[in-house]
Amino acid sequence: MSEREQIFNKIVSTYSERLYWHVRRFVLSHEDTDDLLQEIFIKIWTALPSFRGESQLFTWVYKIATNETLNFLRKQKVRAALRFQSIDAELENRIDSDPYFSGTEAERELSKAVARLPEKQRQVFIMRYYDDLSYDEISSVTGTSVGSLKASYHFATEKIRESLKDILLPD
Amino acid sequence: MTRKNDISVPEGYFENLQQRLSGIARTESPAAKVGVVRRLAPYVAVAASMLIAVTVGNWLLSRTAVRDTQSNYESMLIAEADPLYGPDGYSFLDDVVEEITDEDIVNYLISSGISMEHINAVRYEEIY
Repeated sequence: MSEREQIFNKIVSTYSERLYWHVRRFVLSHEDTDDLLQEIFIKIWTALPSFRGESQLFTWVYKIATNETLNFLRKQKVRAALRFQSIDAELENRIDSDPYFSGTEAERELSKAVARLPEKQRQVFIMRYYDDLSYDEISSVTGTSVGSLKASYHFATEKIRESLKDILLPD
Repeated sequence: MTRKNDISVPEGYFENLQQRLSGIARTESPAAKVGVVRRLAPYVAVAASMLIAVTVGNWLLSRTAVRDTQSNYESMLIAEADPLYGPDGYSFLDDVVEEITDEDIVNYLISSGISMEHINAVRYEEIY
């Protein structure tokens, strides 16, 4: 087995599950997540010879996964627009019809509120709240300053709080 | 089922996932690849055949060019009158439109950098 294969298999065993949950929070579908993971790891395999260690391996892998996921979501958004449909409505449908969702009603509404966030805020919220990454780690992955990330996270939580207040505590 | 807070996956999914992902390295490793020359050989053969066919075809056509000049001129006049249709009434656009898939359109819009606001604005104009 070549060194490249050894490193790749190590990445698979170390990060595949973590990347699954990361992608899943964005695309809201087990099947799409599974397909996307295949593409992500093919990209990782292809790009592995060019990894020079300028960043940590984890950051590098996470960046590939995040970029591929965001590209996937952008395509979905354009397809929805061409069909005169709302991507927000489509994402909410995915949450409601997900056979693998087993949380509470509050968790379901939280997922929907996160899905409605603008892309940048959604990205930061998922990586901070669900993936439990530090702001420094998120900054390494996204290339955004820690200050901007904290601001994005703050605005995201404010929007979510407003959204959930209307739904879970109606007048 | 394996569960992370509010989302679950089928039992054994991650073990199966690791096996499938490791297969990427086995499939893409150099030992599994056919040599470059052997892979390109069929394409080179096809390209060479097409080149010969085009060369012979051009030679044959050049021998009949003078005779067909008059009819070609009339065909050109007809085509220019209605650029979407050829002399026989066939629309040249039909084939082109059929070849463009939704995926092509999506990829073009993303690569062109067109904004969602612009798409929605165009959509609004089409509806109202």
